[in-house]
Amino acid sequence: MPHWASMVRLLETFFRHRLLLLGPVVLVLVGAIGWVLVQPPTYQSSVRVWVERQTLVPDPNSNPYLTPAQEQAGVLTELISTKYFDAKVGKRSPLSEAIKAASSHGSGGIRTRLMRLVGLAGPGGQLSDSQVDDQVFNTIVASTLVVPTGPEIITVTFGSSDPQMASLVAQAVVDQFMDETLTNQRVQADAAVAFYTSQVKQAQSDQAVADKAVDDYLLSNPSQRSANAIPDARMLQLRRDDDAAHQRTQSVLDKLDQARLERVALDQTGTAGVRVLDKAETPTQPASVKKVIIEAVGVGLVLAVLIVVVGVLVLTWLDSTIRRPQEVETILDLRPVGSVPRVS
Amino acid sequence: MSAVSQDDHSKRPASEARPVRAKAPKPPAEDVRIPRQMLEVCRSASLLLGGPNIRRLGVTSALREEGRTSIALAMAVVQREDYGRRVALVDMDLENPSLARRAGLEPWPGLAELTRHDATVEEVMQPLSDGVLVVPSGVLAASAARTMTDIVKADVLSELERQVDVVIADLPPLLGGGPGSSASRAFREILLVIRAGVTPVARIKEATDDLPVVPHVLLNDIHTSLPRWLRRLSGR
Repeated sequence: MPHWASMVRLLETFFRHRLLLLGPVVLVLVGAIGWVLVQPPTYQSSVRVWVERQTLVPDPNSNPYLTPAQEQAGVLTELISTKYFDAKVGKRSPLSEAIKAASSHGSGGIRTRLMRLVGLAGPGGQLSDSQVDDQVFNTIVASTLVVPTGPEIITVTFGSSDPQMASLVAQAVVDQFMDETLTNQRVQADAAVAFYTSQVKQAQSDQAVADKAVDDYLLSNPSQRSANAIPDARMLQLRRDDDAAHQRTQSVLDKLDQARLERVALDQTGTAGVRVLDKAETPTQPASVKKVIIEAVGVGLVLAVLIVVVGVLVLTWLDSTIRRPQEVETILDLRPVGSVPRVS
Repeated sequence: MSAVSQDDHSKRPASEARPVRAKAPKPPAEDVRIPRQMLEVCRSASLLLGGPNIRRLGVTSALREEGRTSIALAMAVVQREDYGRRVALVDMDLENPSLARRAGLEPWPGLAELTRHDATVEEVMQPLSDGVLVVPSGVLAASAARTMTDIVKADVLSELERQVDVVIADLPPLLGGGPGSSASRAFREILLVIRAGVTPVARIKEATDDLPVVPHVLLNDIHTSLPRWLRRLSGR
């Protein structure tokens, strides 16, 4: 069976070069374990947020098949992936200052230098504002986790080696999110008020024109003034237009009132549809290193398997020798008369 | 028995070559140890090559260190033991003769002396065991290539064939610039020894391209790196 023969050949290559192949594997695993050991303890702080669907100012883009928590978690995750939002969180919390301070205090330890080598840490020395924002962005993106933990509850978790920093940044993320949500809603409400105000003006102007048209017609046709007078066709048309102008004005006025009410309501607390249930607290114990270990070992194993598989394939491909009697016929097209086993 | 370095003799010109001396009859050398498994494989290989009908067989390889001499020895022993034939085992690896040294025999007189008529057929044949006679390469008076050409041209092997039932020759390797290719032209049956896992296919093909006959292949030193449990699982 050719497939089985190929498999046996690959296995033979593996066992023949097992030291050569397993050496890098051991190195990778040792490296992964070393990575775990040099990781500083991480503290995690979480904020639980209640979110609800907007009824006061309905969002036309709202997806009815998603829970409010899923929807808002998506929005928050999107915001976190922007430098604009993260820079504001950095300034709101001590994160920006901490990064600035860290950069001015030397080039960091071995771990920082190693991370800098692979591009996971920023450059050393005094950082510019833009570089600080970049590092804040990288830190928040890498260390923040937004999870909808219920239909209307989002949990925002931030991890840091400093417990106080963890709680302050987690809270800052949520506060900035609430500000962004509220600002967005206020902008929309202001736009609605401005729009309906202009609509009211236009409706009132139309209404005045209709009123004047009726008055002018009555002046020129005194017979139509009497209470018992039967209105002619023209009079009927003018009155109908006038009633319609009144109705439209009233309708636009109602909408303007509603928009003004919504705008005023947005100045009240708790109307953004987002409310903090559990504030961020300073963690007293570091988070479990289980996740780091699992990640490091996982990455190490994947790398190890990759090294072994690629190594075996390359070594098998490079081996251009005859190893079995069958190969004498298939590769050399010669007749084998025997094969002498190795005498050990 | 004095062990004379073959290299010293190879460098010596013909005029200074050691004269053939009349030697006292020697007892047959001790049997060279040949692994039992190798003998078994050579036994079945002999059958496939014609068994008692083989007259002249050249054992060669693409490169050195492939087990050519051991296989030639084993084939000679099989011919003697299985068919009771008188065998002349000829060392034609003129540049690096090892048969005589390995068998504990005198390195000369041999094929070179026989070609130059410095020795008779009876003088160059040294008994290895009962019925197996070794013909060493002897002392070269000219280059290996020239000597090989003379051996082939003078048809020395036919002369040996008349004395024994079968001639088995340990030929030089086909590659490496030696006279392996010209030596192989004196044989109708060639056994090519390939060392498993060592000789590259390209080198084997290069070696066999020039051969006048299609060689039979004997794969030597085959082994597996698979652990025993995996071999049992794979049925190997």
